[in-house]
Formats: sequence, C-alpha cells, structure tokens
Amino acid sequence: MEQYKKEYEIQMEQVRFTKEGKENMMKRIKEKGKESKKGVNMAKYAGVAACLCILSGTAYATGILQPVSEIFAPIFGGSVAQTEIIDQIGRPLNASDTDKGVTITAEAIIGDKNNVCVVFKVAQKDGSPLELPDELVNEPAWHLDFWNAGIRIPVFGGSIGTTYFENSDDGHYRLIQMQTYDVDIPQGETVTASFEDLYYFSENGEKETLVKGNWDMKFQLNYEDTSVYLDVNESFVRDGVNFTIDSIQVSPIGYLVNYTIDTVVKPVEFGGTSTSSQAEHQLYWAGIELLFTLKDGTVLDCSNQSGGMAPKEDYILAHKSDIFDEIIPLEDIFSVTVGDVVVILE
Amino acid sequence: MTDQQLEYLIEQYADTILRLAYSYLKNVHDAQDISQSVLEKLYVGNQKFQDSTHEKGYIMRMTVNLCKDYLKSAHHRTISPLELCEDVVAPEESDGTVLFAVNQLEEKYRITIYLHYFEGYTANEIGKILKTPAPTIRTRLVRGREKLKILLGGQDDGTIQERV
Repeated sequence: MEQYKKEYEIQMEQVRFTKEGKENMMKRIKEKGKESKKGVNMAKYAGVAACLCILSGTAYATGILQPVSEIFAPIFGGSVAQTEIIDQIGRPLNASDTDKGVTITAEAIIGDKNNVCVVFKVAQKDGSPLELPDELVNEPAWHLDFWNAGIRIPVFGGSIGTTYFENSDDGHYRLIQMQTYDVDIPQGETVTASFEDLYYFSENGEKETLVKGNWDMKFQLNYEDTSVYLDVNESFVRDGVNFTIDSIQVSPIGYLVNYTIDTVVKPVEFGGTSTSSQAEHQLYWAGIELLFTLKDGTVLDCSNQSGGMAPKEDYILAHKSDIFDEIIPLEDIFSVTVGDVVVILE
Repeated sequence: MTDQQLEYLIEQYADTILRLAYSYLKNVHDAQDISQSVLEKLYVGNQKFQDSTHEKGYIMRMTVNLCKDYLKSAHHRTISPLELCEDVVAPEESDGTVLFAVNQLEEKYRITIYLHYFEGYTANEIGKILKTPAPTIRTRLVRGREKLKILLGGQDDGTIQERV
C-alpha cells in the first residue's frame, strides 16, 4: 500500500496550475472581482451556478412593471444610447411564483439570436426585500444562491451560461441569468424557469438553507432580435492550416462567429491536456483573434471568451460566442476581425 | 480582499483546490472552473480567518460544496471553456496507474482517499470537511482501500490496517 500511496502522491502532484495559469487566473479574478464590486456584471464563469432544469408550474401576474432600461442598466450600462437600445430590444415580464413566503418574479428579458439574459427579483411575499440573517446584511449578494436555478428554452443545441445574485439600489436582491446558445433561439417560444431551495454561505463557509422551496414559472420569449447576420465565407491560412469564416452574427447584446478549420483531429486527443492538444487549442481556437473595433478606436478583444470546437471527420467546426459586458450600439462598431479576415460593418 | 491577499491565496491554495475538485469531478478543466470560482468568491468576499487551519478548512469545504453543486446540476457545461485549457496540467490517465484506479472508485471513496492519503487529514478532520460522521469516513477508507487493491490487481488479505 505504501508503494501505491507514493505513486498516487506523485501523480496527484502533477495535477497543478502552470505558472502562467496562475497568473492568468489572477488577472481574470481581479478583473471580475473589481467589476463585481462596482456592481457591474462581468462575472461570467460558467458551469457552476448555471443549470437548466425541466420544470412545471404556473405563472401569474403581479405588481407594476418597471421600465426595462431601469432593470438592465446596472448590468449593461445606462447611457442614453444604451437605454434606448435596451428599451427597444428588451421586454418586461410579469411571471412569478410564491413558495414558503418568498416570491420570485421574472422582471425582464433581453437577448439576440443566440444570447439571452433574464432578471428575476427575489423578495418576500408581501413585496418587501428578502429577509436575511443578520450576518448577511450588508454582505455581497454572492453569499446567496439556489441549489438549482435556471431557464430552459426548447432548442436542440449546446448552451453555456451563468446565474448570479446582485444587490439592487432599491434594496432588493436580483438574480441574473445569462445564457449563450450555439444555435438560433426561436422567438415566440415559451421559456420555463425553475428555482429550488435558496441557501447562503455562512461565516464558517457552510451552506445553510435559507428557504426550502420550489418556484416555477413560464413566460414568452418576445424580445426584439436585432442581430445582424454577415455571410462572410472568406478564408485565411495560419501555420499551413486553412480557416474559413462561415458567418458572423452581432447585435448590441452579443455575438456568434462560426468558422471551419480544414484539418483532421482525432476526437480522443481533442481537448486533452497533452502538449500537442494544447498546441492545437492555441492554433485552432484561442489563437484565432476575434476583435470588435469601434469607431472611436476602442478594440474589444473577444478572442478568449466562450465558445467551442466540434471535430468532424476531416474538419473542425468552431465558434466563439458571448454576451458583451455592456450594450454596444451596432452603429458604433466599425469592423469585426476574425483571424486575418477583417469585415467592415456598413 | 486586497490583491496581495489574492496572490497569497492563489500561490497557497490554487493547486490544492484544483486537486480536490479534480478528485471530485475527475475532469481537470471542470476542476479549473471550480478553482477560479472558489478564489473569486474569496476575493470578492471579506472572510476573516482565525488561523491557517481555519483558512484551509474553510477553502476545502467551499470547494467541496461547489463541486457538489456542479455534480448536482442537471446540465453541466456543454461547451468547453477552451481558453482555460492551457492553464493547468495533469498526468495522462492510463490503465494500470494508481490515479486511474482511484478515479474508478465511487465519489465517496475517491474523495476520502484523496483527503487522507494526499492531504494527510485524519478521519475526524475529513468528517468535518465532508460533514460526515468520522466512523463513516473510517469505513469508507477501509472499503476504498479494499476496492483499490482489487482494481490494481492485488488480493485483499485484510492485513492492511492504518490508524486514521
């Protein structure tokens, strides 16, 4: 057993961050942390809090609708141009469910062809702000979470997203759900949302259940999709490999870029941690620039946001997609750069 | 939390969190997501620790909780965050290695073996981290070892006993 123990220790020692990995993580955390402290949404790490659930239940109308731009301003910005766009694209929602004295209300939705963002208010049944234990008062909202929380849109495709709480100026706690799909989101479909058991992290780091309950609701996907579709079909060669840009979709909310890589990769090797697969990842995905250049000269580097690759028999389908950190008026975008291809938006 | 404190936490705990999450999830990229999530929460929060033992215990519990959430969610990541892949390394899991065998074990045995054999925690300490009675942890260690021996091609003659 001693020999096994030694071997196990040696192998586990090899599971580690690289020096660069730690530096990269530090950078990401600082950026996200600072934005989070400012109350602006930047926290888009995926997969932990975000989930999709099958649900049932009913929604009913309640309350007075708040202007959509007021709801989304803390998330996407509140300049005049941004407010106009949010009011044009976003839609108020009025679906809610109450359980164990807590009401969750879907307040507003915004999105585009591949991205969607929904804001939920979590409050007491009588409309007053959620009552929290003393230790949580004045603490950041991330102390709160649901065991399960998410929206479900009936599409056949992959999605990635995140759910997180924010403190609002009106004293309420709001849950923001962002989801990016690699297929088109059909307008008019019914969105279902479900939540299970509200908990918080105690001073000791334990997860303590705050309210044990289930909340389900449904609402229509009815925001205005203003995505611009660019059928590019241009190619470039990088390190002897041919890349073809298949399409670019961009809206004030986010983007989806599809491209094809003419190469053969064995799926089993794909996405692994070997040196060769890391090199492939760099060559085929991370190393392919995706830059949005604004007319004022600002460059948004979206090369390393979310996306993915799907190896086929003799080629790879790749995409990059995400929600912008703030609303970007389309008329402010001068060009989109994908690898060596530059597309001017007219 | 200051940037210096974050630097300290990353230097001190990033690999520990990664390994613990990897033991849970058996996927180094998912484990990397968890690591960032844990450290991000610590950075944004204002948690004060009594000492290094309290600090490490808190971080271990937080990691376990987030891993459980992750496993519990009906829908994990459907698209790999490929930008993260190059930041972590892990040995190739090949048949016959101890790591491969440990990863074949059920989660409850896998995580207990990791915490005891790699992190050096006692059954009592593991019990506190996993919120499980210490006798149950001892049973898991014994059974986990038995299963591991069989997976590694040995016979369990019942002679291997360790005080935990």
